[in-house]
Amino acid sequence: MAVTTFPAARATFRTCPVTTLKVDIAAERLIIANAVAAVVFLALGGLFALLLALTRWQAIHLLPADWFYRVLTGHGFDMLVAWIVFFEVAGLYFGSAILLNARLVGPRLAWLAYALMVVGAVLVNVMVLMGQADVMFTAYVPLKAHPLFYLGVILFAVGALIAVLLFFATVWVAGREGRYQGSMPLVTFGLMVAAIIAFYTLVSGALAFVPAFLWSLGLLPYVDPGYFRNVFWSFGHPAQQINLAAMVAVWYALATITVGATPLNEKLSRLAFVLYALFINLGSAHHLLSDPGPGFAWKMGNTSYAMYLAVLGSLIHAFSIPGAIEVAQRRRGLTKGAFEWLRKAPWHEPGFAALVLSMILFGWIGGVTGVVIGTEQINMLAHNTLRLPGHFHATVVAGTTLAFMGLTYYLIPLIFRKELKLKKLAQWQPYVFGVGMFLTILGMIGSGLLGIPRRHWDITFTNAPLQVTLPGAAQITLAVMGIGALIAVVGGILYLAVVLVSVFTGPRVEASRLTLVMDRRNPLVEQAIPNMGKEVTEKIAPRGTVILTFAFLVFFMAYYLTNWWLLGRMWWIR
Amino acid sequence: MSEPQVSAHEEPQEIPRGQKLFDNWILLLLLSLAISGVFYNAWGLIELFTLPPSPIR
Amino acid sequence: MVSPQALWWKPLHRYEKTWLIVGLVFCVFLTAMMPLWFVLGKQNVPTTTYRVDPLQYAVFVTRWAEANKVDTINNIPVVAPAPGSDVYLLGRQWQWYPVLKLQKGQTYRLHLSSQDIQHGFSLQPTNLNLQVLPGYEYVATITPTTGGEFAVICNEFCAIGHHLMVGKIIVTE
Repeated sequence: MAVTTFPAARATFRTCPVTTLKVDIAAERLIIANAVAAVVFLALGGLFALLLALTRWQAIHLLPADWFYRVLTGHGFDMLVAWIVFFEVAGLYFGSAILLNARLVGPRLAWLAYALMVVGAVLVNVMVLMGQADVMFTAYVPLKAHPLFYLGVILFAVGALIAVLLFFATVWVAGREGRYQGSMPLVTFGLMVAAIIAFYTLVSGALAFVPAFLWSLGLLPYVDPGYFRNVFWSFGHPAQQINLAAMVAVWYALATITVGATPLNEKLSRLAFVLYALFINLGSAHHLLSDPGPGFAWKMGNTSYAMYLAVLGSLIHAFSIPGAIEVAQRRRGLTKGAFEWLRKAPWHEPGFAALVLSMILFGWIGGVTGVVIGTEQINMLAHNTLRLPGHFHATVVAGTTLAFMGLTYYLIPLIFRKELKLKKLAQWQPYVFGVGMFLTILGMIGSGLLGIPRRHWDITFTNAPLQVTLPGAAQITLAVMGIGALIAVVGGILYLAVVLVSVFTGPRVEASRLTLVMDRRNPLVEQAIPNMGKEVTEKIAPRGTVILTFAFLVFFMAYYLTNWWLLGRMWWIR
Repeated sequence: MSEPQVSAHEEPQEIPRGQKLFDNWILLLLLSLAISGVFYNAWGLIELFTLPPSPIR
Repeated sequence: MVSPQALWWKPLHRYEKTWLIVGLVFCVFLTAMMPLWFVLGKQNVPTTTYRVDPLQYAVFVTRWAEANKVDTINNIPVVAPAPGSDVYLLGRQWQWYPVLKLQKGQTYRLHLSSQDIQHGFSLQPTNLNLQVLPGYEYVATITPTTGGEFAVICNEFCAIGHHLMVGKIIVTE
């Protein structure tokens, strides 16, 4: 087993006492830097969220119109781009260098990437807050922003692209240097798929924002609005699919950390990720279903992710991850009935709570609504109504953000090497955030079904030249959204409190356990490693998961068919 | 963590083609770009650029 | 998080096989629904689009509305086109022009475009939503199946007057 180290490549490692992983110090510093930036933008975006929710809650109607649209632009960028991509870059360095016991290739370039991302994100926020970019995060041409807004986005994207390339390089070099044998771990593979999607995302971003930038400078006379929508969404949607792949990788990690779960069948889980890599970008078309231009075949073929094969990938994970948890629990003797494994699971361990709530909210609400409103014809019922933000708050916020929050609690002792403080708050936080987001999402979807538009300052249409009366029930659904948002913001503040207090107080200390509060200190070493690849016997087969997944499919079918019925009540159109 | 796999016989195991395919992330990257680029971007943009002019006078 | 065994390409458990097959059948069903409804359903996404110059469209619609108006509301012409005819709606910052008066159960070819930037055609309370782009003339063959007064609101952000952008379609029984 020869280890060929490329000349002039020196890296310093420490060995983690809990996971036994060899940790490249340079990689660790970059993970910390990116994670800190991520949390800063989450906080800013969260403040914006509070202001927005209190404005759309018509009874309160906090912000004036111009500030509402401004803050909405900032909220979109800070959450969908800044917070989540910074966290994912940290995740990419973790999944490559740390999990493979390898050195991060090009740490100095990684710092350049970080600087570009920080400068870009700050530039965007400054231009937005100065009122020079009231265009929403989508910046649909011919709506025009100040050139520095586009430049900020471009700088951020270039930085992120460098980070993605360094991830590829690190994995490749780690293989050549013999840092790991055989196939990379599943979590790394999931992050690899995230990086593959990210490459396409960022190149598309350039193809959208560079012409728009030149146009805003007056160097290009015209950018076709239809072109911009096609290319913007091949940046905008795959950006969210990066989140999906990364989130699923984090789910597998949290399952291993909290209950010692191992993939039941690597082939199946990896197949699911491969389906994502090959087909998931096609789904960008679901933003263009109600657009003039493309015909039925293009819309239908693309929105279905190639016969829904990418959705099949999600269905696979929907079985494989609960199944892995169930088998791990059954191996420990929790075999009574169909659900003892679930009842006696570590619900008080922050990572487990975040994992389960994230999966339920993402799957049952986010995934289902996504497929439904991404159905070519049904989209006309939902396009640009508040149902859309309802969908993507279920996926990006209740799903990805909640999972990332859960993972952060483990990065603090393992990477930041600080003791996690305010543990009681950390235990409650996933539930508070999850419940808050659930209500926010219900309020949004309910409002959208009543026809309430998204990105709209006043649905009472006071001062409009013609009178419009939208359904009175919308006052209730918007209030539910407002209340849910208040609770979710509390959940966000709890997260910030735990993270800030833990990182900034107390001495640096080596982690002595993998889990945070539960009795079992290290399910990874005690259970996961010894059980890798072991056969699943009848006694420990995941019967409970079978029941859960079939129940899910029944719910999916019911919601799907109800929407066709709703569509059937609309005016005839072709 | 990756302990080197040491089997009792030190025999090279025949890795199935499917496993090797899934491990080939460079191939997955290229396929991903090709499929998305052709079916979503190229086809979609061609539909836009071949639209007929309006009959409006 | 842990490296897999050297050989992990293994057969599936029967639960996994079953779930995979059920999932695949579900995916085929989802895929088939769209072309089925395309052929059999009454509500489909319009597939006719023309390229048009935004200003030319605006001039045309203004002439058509003025020539065919039967009334005005708030200085906006009300047009009652003949069933089966081409009907035009213009979106611009910040109005939908003109007001349309249609008959329930009759079919019209509704043309949608924008004079300036992107807008969102959102017909309430029937909740029919379409994107409106400058430079693109979207043609929808519609049949109002319910009568009354309908609001056309804008649901694509179009700068500061976005929430004041309202139009109207009246459907007589």
